[in-house]
Formats: sequence, structure tokens, C-alpha cells
Amino acid sequence: MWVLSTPSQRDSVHAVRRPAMIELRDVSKTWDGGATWSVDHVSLVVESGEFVALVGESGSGKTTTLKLMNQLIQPSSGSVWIGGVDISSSDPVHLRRKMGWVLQAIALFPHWTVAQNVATVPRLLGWDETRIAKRCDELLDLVGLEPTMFRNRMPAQLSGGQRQRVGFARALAAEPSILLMDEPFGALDPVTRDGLQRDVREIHNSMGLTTVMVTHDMAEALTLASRIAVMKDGRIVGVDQPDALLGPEQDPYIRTLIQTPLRQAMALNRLVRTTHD
Amino acid sequence: MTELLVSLPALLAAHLQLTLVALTVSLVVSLPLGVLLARSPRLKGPALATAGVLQTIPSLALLALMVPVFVTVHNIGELVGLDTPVLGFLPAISALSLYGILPILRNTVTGLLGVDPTLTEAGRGLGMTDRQLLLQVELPLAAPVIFAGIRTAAVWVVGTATLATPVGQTCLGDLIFAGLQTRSWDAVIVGCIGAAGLAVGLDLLLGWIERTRTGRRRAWIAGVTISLLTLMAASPLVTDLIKPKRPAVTVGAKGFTEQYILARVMQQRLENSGYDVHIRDGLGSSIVFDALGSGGVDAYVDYSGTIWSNHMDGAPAGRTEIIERLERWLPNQKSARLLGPLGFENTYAIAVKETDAETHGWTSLRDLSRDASALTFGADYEFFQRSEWTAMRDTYGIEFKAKRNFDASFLYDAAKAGDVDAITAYSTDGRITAFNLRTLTDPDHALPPYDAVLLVSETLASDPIAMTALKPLLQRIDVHTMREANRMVDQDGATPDEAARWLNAQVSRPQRSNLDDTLE
Repeated sequence: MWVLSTPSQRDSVHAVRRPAMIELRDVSKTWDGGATWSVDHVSLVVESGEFVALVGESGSGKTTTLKLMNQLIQPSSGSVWIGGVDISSSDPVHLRRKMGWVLQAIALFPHWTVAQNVATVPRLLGWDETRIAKRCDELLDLVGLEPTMFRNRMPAQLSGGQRQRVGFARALAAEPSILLMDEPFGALDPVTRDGLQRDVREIHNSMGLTTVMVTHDMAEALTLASRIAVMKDGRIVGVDQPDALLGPEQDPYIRTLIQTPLRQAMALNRLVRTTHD
Repeated sequence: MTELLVSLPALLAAHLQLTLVALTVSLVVSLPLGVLLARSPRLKGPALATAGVLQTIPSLALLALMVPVFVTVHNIGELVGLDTPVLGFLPAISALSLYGILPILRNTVTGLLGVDPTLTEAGRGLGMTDRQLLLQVELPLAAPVIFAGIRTAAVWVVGTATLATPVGQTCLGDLIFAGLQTRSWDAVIVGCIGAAGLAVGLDLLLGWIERTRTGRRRAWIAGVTISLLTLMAASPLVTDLIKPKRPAVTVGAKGFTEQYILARVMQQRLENSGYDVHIRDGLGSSIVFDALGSGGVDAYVDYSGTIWSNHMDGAPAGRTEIIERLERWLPNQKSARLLGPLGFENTYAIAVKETDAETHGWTSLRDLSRDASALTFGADYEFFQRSEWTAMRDTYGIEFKAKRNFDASFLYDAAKAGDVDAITAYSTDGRITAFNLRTLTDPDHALPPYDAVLLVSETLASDPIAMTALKPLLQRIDVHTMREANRMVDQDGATPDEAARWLNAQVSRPQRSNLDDTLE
């Protein structure tokens, strides 16, 4: 059921099931008229409530794939479906307001306070001021920032981890059903990263989100995601649950990739034991 | 000095109005254009290059070029019954606005392109439309750079606006130009300090607005202040356009002492007859001619030879013949008339130091040509562009070692100090005798006659009361009287108003029997 299906199989299956939350149907993207393909015939189904990680080396096409989902990039061929609707026929602005968006660069608006940053999408949606203020405080609580202390600070007055917490609050402010994250923990130190990762996984569960996360950190993908899609040269070379990807029947490239954190952990383990002896 | 300080507030206000309206126009043009250019790299290069080229046009030239443009606008407007002004506010504003465009435009483009692309992508990814992205993210983040451009433009425009005097716009330049010509250095200094003070003040105000723009309430106040200032500053433009006909008379003057005095002679006479007279001082020679009868200027004094060599065939001809031909020619060219000669000539004469003339035996241009190859020649700005120069050069075969341009008011000092060996002088200038200079004769009549002639617009010519006020001036001012009036201002420090009162008293006295310079 997780495995990629051929178009004919998929059509028959979809006739009886409710539509997938996100579906890429044979999507390709080229920037140079077809000489090279950033994304090459990618098909992927993400069901409601899933937490999917897109992993791969730099330049494997994972960020492009993510941006195809909120129309920051238009596909050269193929189609993208959100909630059963082909998004090429819908307004990208409305689409994006229903999707949370978190970037590695965090990209808080530097001229706005924390509260104003969190309120970005609710304000675009025209919520009234009291509802925005209430929602703002809820979210700061949710991401572990004391509202009275933080709401009037400027982004420049925050640490990297606090900034990305605000980034999450901003992405979740308008109660999206989908959360798209592009290497959200990439710029953070390991301790901060660990705490925030656990909070994000919890929020994903409690808010009933469908989450897609781009990362090149295999350990992160293995611990957070319910399913991992491995990309190489613009193609998805494998997609499965974390434990299944470790199985011996997998493509050798995938095994090497997945085993990187394992090798690192074993090396670390030896080091710890030697020092303790 | 007190008189200067009394005139200062009005000039400052006019200068501020001019600056603010020009800046507003620059801003209204540059901001949207800058946004467009930041979005389209293909247009950016050519557009910024064009704005850069505009900036390299000398400001005085750009201002002067606007007058023929507005004469054309006026002529077209007349066909549909509009009377648009050709001098003053409109040409000044147009040129100054063009000047203010480049710094604002360039900084808008630079500021917008300098916004971190991850921020614009974040905005777009969160669901902002292009417009929301521009207004909420890009413009606020580019604002410091844009503001720096506005401040640069403000300082430039304040400075350049002092050059609006020659196109007939009241501004602090009036003090500077008139001061230079009439050698009242205190007026020059007051004008410069006023302009510098205004530039610094405006820069401080803009700086304050920039710093407080984040505070919503204070930004609101700043916005209202700017709108009010602009509204106030724009009001003369609006009234200028709404008013169909000015009941007042506008008298023009070129930028030298004699012209300042003669304009006031006319002003005093017209005011005594109940007119509201407005003087436009320091106009460029071709600007005042273009403006005559086009709504810009109703009356001024020109010189027969100037029009003869600049606008007509310029061939050698007698004094009376030139005036007669001018009288016939002018009404065919424009809605204006030659009323008649004032009675004196202000010719170009070549002057040398009396002592040099003695040593080398120079009495005529023919004598000078013998030694010219070792001499440096100083002339006013226009002389080398005029047919007199070629006529003089070709008739006498004069080739100077070097030629230099001076402001007319410094020429005599240059000759006196020996910086140059020969200069163009005006025959009515009081400094010829005061500085011990000798004017050389022109035996072959290379230089045309320059009878002072009174030119009036057709409208004014058909007004019998105005004509009764002005016609007594004709044939009543001889060269000695004019030279004396000029000397009073240039040497004794009298104001042009005082000299004009003296001159009017001379005109009203019973006719003297021995006017030695009347037309034969």
C-alpha cells in the first residue's frame, strides 16, 4: 500500500478510497528546457496524518519536490493534487495560506515583532485583532515561548532556537492541515535541535497534521518520520517506513545512506566505552 | 542688510515650496518606476542609464531647456483656450523633478534588490500576494536605502533650485544672481546661507521621519505633515493654473545691472498708474525673448543688435535700418511689438587698460589685431557663440593667444587686474571710466549697433493706460544717464530700486537740449 503504484492501478484504487492529502503524479521539473531534470518523473502519495521525510544528498531534488507542493515552483510536466484537487487549477495564494511553511533560513521578517511574525497568515486571512492576539499567545505557548516575555521582542533579540520556534508558530498560526518544512533544524545546534524535534513531532500528532520534511540528516528522518522517501538525481529511488528501509532487500545506495547514522553511533559508542574503561 | 533679511522669509518659503513640489513629483515618478525596474532586469539597465544621462546635463541648461518646451505647450494650449505659464513654476518644477528622479529611482531599485531573497520566498510561501509582499515586506525592508535616496535628492534639489532664477522662478537664487550682478556680496552670502540652511533643515526633518517611521502614530503624524507641506507648496501651482488671466503686468529683466534698473523704472511707472507689477529678474537672454508675448513676460528692454544677430539675418546694417526692420519683423514672429528705442546704445565694445593702450598705441580694433597673437581675451559667456565674435574676427583678422569666459560682472576686474589683456565691455558700464579702461573704436563696423529698445506684448501694447505710463521713456535716456545709473549700483552700492527712482526723475525733467547720443 505504501509502494508506488502504476497509474492504472492507482486510478482503480482511488475510485473507492478518499483522496490522498498530497499526491504527486509523474511530476518533472527542468530549468533548462529539458537538458537536465531537477525532478524526474516523481510520483508520491502522502496520506492524511503522515509524517514523510524527503532525504537525499544536496542537489537530489528534494527541496524542489517540496516547493512543487505549494506551487513556489510550477512543474514542467505531471500534476500535483492536494486533498483530491489538481492545484494547477487553484489559486496558489489561497493554497499556501492553508499550508504551514518552515524554512532552514527561518526567515522571520526582521522589521516585525515576534507577535507580528506569528500573526502573518491570520492577518492575511483577515482575522480580527482579538482572535489574532489570542491565537498568537496559544502558539507561543505551544512552541515553548512564554508569550508575555517574547511577544514584543524583535527577531534580532532571539537565539537561533527561539527564532525557529517562532518560525514554527508562524507556520501553524492559521491552523493549517499540512506542514511543509525545508531542513527546519539545519541551522540549529544539536541540543536545541533535539528539544525542538521532539516538540515538533508532538505538535504533528496533537494537531493532526500531514507533514512533509526535507532533510539531509538521516538520524532526524529515521526518528521523526513515519515514512521516508529517498531521492537521488531527481528521482525517488525508494520510499518506505524507517525500519523497512534498513532491510537487506533495499537498494545498496539506500542502505549506505541509511546506515550512515548507524556507523556514526557505533563509532561514538566505542569512543564512550574506551574512555570509561 | 535689513532689507535683505526682510525679503528672506518670502524667498525661503518660495524655495521650500519649489523643493517640496519637485521632490513630491520625483517621488511619485520614481517609486512605482523603481518597483517596476526591480522586477524587470531587462528594463533596469536602460532606464537607470537614461536617468543617469539626465543627471549629467548641467542643471542650469536643463532648467533653461524647459522654457522652449513650455512655450510649445503654451502655443498648443492657446488653440484650446488655455493660458499656461511659460516661465517660473512649471519649467522650474519640471527640471528639478527630473533632477530628483535619479537618486530616488536608483536607491529604490537597489533597496528592493537588496532584500534577502529568503524573506521574499518566505512571504510568498506563507501566502502573500505580490502586492502584499511588496507593501508588507519588500518596501519596509528597502525603506532605509530608499530614504537615503530621498535625502540625497532633497539636498540636490535645494541646491539646484537656486538656479531657477534665470527661468523666472522666485527662489533664494534671486539674492545670489542679483547680488553677483550688482556686486552686493551680502545678498550673495544671505542667499547661500539660506539655501544651505534649508538643505540641512530638510535633511534633518527627513532623518527624523525615517527614524520614527516604525512608530505607527508618529509615522502617521509625519505623513500628515508631509501632505500638508506638499499641499501648501502645491497651492501656487493650482492657483496659477486656475486663474485664467493675470491682471498684473510682468516685467522681465536679463541678468545684469542695467536690466535690473530698467525693469524697476518700468515697474515704478506702471505701479503709479495702478498696475500690479511683478518683476522677473535675471532671465536668460533667449529665455526672456521666448517668454515675451507668451504669457511669461509683458515688457522688457532688449538691444537691437542682440535680436538682429540671434534671430534675424545679422548682416551689417545701419542703426535706423535695423530698428525699422525689427519693428516690422517682431509682430510676425510673436504676439509682441517693438515700442521704440530708449535713446542709448549699449554696444559690445572691446576694452583694454588705458596704460596698455598708451604703450602699444591701440585706439581701434585694427590696432589690436596686430598684437592679438600675444594677448589673452576675456568675454562674457555668450560672446563666442554670437555672430559679433565671428564678424569681429573675420573683419580684423584677430586671432588671440587665449580666450577665456567670465561672468560679466567679473570681466572688468579681470581686465583691471591684468588677468586678461582685452575684454568685451558694455558701452554703458560705469566701470569703463572707473577702472581706467579704454574702449577701442570699430572703424569697419564689425559689431552691430545695440540700441536699447522697449519690447511689449500685444496685450500690453493695446492697453492705453500702460502705454501712457511707458511711452515717455522712449528717446529719453542717453548713454551718460544710463552709465551714471549703472555706476550708482555697481560702485556706490545703491539698490536697483534707488537707481531706478533717480533715472525716472531724470526722464521726467524737462528735455535737455544736448542729448548727444540720440539717433541721427
